[in-house]
Amino acid sequence: MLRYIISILLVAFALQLNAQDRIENDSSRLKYLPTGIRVGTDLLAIGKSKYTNYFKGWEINVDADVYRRYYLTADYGSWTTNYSLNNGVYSSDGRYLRIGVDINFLLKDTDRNMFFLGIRRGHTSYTDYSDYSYADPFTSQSVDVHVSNSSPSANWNELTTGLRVKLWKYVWLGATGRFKFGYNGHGQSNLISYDVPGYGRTIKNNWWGINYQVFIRIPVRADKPRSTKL
Amino acid sequence: MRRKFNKNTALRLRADAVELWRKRPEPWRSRRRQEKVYLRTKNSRLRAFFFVVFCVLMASCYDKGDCILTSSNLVRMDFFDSKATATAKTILFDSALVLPANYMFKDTASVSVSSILLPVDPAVNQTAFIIYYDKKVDTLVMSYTTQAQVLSPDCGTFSYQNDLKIEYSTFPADSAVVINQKLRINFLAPKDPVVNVKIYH
Repeated sequence: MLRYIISILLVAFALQLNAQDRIENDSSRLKYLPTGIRVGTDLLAIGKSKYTNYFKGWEINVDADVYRRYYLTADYGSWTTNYSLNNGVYSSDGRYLRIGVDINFLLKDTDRNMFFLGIRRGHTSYTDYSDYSYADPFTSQSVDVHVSNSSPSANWNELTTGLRVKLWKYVWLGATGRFKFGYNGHGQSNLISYDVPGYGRTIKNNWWGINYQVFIRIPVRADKPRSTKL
Repeated sequence: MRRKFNKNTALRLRADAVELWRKRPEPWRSRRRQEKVYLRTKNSRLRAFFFVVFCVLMASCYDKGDCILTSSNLVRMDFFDSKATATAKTILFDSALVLPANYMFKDTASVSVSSILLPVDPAVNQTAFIIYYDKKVDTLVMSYTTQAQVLSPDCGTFSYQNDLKIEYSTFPADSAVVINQKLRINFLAPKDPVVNVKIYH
């Protein structure tokens, strides 16, 4: 009888060991699960839409800490521009998407304030056109022209840096500086696009951009308090 | 032997408990108040760096574009000696008919020139030039593409002719050569467009 009891106990111990492996796998999977997801919007786009007559647009920013100091980010937005030119008008309208990774250099900050460097890859699909007039070289009379691109698109890269500062409980405020480079436009055979949604004006190969954002952080899972020891 | 609890033992235990309570670890929330605020910095160099970067960002954002106009609808044809190809050759230019605009360029009298400028029609992709010179006539049919570009809101939109090609020519074989497919002017010398076609005569 004692022999049977010992055998049963050994089997029970073996089952416990399997459970420990499962617990270890769960905790290793958890470390890649974000502790929270931040969703925000660009305040500059809202301000420009309200106070300028040439820009209408909005942008949604999402980021999540996937592992320690690394954040996956995505920006999705819409731009519509209408410029009055000296000899006509130019308009562009489209949506854009930017995805990338940020590296947080304030990992010890218990408020999860961030100073980050990051990279982005941007893509946009849009339409644009220009109505303008020119003087006919033979009669000197004014000739009106409508020229448009049917389905242009563009890609570019960005280097980003900025701050995310906790304002109150779940509210963050952020500023992001962007260095845009590597612009590559497609489908612009009739009209060279002047303002590309998400990128900006194409008159230069490189561009600086800036966003001011407000975020709401949605907690996903509990994280252990951060140590202040350096 | 059984331990006896007397008054001194109770007092000692109470003192130990008070001591433990005083040395208890603080909750992490109150620990946060004692930490340095990492974002405030007294480093004047770092502040100056951020200020300069901010100014550069703001200055760059307001660049609307330069109004440097290089667009041209004029094809410049230079004549050269067919035997001494580097030597310019003078022709007696009488007139030129541009089609499909059906426009005749003619001066009061024939002029001796080594270079002529004739406009293409921006509304179409092909223009024919019938050139009367040296008491003879030759035809040159040229094709091109037209692309519009906004220089800046203050400047406006302009048409640029590119991909200039000779589709048909009555000049002797290989004597008319396109050397520059873009119709442009040199913005440093606006009255001196770039040479597009060399004709070895």
